[in-house]
Amino acid sequence: MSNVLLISIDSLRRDLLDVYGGGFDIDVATPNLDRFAERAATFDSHYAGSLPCMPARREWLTGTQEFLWRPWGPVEPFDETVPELARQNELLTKLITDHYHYFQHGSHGYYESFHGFDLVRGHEHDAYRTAPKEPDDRLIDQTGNRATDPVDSLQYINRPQYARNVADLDELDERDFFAPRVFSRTAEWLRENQDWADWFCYVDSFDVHEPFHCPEPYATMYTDEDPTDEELTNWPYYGRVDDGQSELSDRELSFLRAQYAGKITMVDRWFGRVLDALDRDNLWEDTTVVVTSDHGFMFGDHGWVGKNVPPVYDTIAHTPLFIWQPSSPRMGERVDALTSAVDLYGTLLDAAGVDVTDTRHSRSVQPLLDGRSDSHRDWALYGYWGSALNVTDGKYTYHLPCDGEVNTYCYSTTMMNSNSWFTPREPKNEAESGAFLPYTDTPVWRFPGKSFEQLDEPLLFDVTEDPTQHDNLAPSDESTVDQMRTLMREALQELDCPDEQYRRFNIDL
Amino acid sequence: MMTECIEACVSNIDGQVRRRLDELDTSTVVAPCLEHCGRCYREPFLVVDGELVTDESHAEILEGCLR
Repeated sequence: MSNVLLISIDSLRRDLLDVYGGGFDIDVATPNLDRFAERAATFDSHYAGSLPCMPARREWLTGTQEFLWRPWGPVEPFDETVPELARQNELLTKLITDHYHYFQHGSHGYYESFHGFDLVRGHEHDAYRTAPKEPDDRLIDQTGNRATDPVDSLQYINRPQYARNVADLDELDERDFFAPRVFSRTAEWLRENQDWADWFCYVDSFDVHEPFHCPEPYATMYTDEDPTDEELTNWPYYGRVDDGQSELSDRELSFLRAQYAGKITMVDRWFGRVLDALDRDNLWEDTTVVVTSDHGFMFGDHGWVGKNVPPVYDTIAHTPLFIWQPSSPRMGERVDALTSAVDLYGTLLDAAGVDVTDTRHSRSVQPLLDGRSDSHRDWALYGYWGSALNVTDGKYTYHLPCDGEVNTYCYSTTMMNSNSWFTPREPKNEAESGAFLPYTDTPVWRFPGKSFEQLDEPLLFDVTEDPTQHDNLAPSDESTVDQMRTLMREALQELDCPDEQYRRFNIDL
Repeated sequence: MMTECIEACVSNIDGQVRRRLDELDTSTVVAPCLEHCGRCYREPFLVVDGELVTDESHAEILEGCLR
């Protein structure tokens, strides 16, 4: 038997997990993640690739490091997804999620190939409930800004949607909330489907993504504040903490961190139900279990809150990864080899027994799990489409702004919105078509999109000596800058990225 | 009162507005998304000291807030 269970916990910062040495200023209880880490291989140098949410999922499920070619978007016709290949290999496939982005404009193709999927409705902006028109005042105040996001707003992204979605939730009963429902459904599914020989189950928990709206006892677990105080937001806007619509007082920031911590403890408790199900039904000996996250979240780190806007510090990009595999000699050990999010694709296929010759940009970590190798890749490249370029060799991270005046290009079989991801389609009349991609002969559209610098100047950090990345070595360490620029160039060449990327980053072709 | 911070969404401005923002003495931020996607589609907007301001053009918004 070869069962594969992939669990993603969205926005989970690695530095609050004891196994990664902590660093977050709250001691967050995660006994179940800790017990899984004890059993599994813990990857110490695992990095995100394409960011944020949906680009990460295309890396995991299709092996495509997409951010050099296109932004947040659908599975392409030339992608071979893990569920498609698994079902061809006679595995039952199942998706359990509250990640509503799979069901928005421009994000098709991710759930359709599973034999079954469960969607828990209502998280964040999920276009779910339309009543009551005027939801609970306190939740409206805690989740948004009435002036910029009015209660009667009908615009595409509006925060009162969340207050409507959760109008019936009981804040004293955590079972109503999202992660409890996702993970308890997973435990049920494991029990109900034991008659199937082999399966791939993908559990994608939108928690601990914002809004950081917690039920009790978690809402008061890490704070003395009243979590129903309408002056305390549980859903920050992204940006600087000292300026603009994202500005937060120290008190607000401290409350947010406490709600995030509480939500993680809640997620952990219900994640534990899945571990219990694996124990109860004796599934460990037949199942590879992968636990990871797409990215972190900044809570005042370097003066920022959220993600997407700030430089891609390790708080965002250095992500947790744990893999349990019954036959592996590395269980209970640390793996310090550099790995990348895109590598999960080949790893999942190997674990599912799927034999494919081309895993596109992915390199399975199976040789690490088998103990056949101690090293894996020389570089991990990461970032957002149309923004800065980031690379690490596991010791240094180097971050290079793009030229904001130079357009980038979007390559896709769809006319996706290049900068405004999940809003309705609009025709791209300037598009040309052709077989522009190095990894397929399929013709695609090519059309321009705007660049976003993301940082003012190059940054270089030695993350082995300076894990919080406060000492920028770029101005003083010319030799390492040269070395990392060379690594970046090698990575771009190996991926055969479009020529305009070299121009945007002023890197020689 | 003096304007302290002006935020713009990259989808809502062109290169000319971006350059104008760069030239200002006040703090400016160009973000990939400011979560005002409906309005962003329809009309020019900027977030000025945390408040969303719309007008016929970005130039008029800037003229109003920097007056």
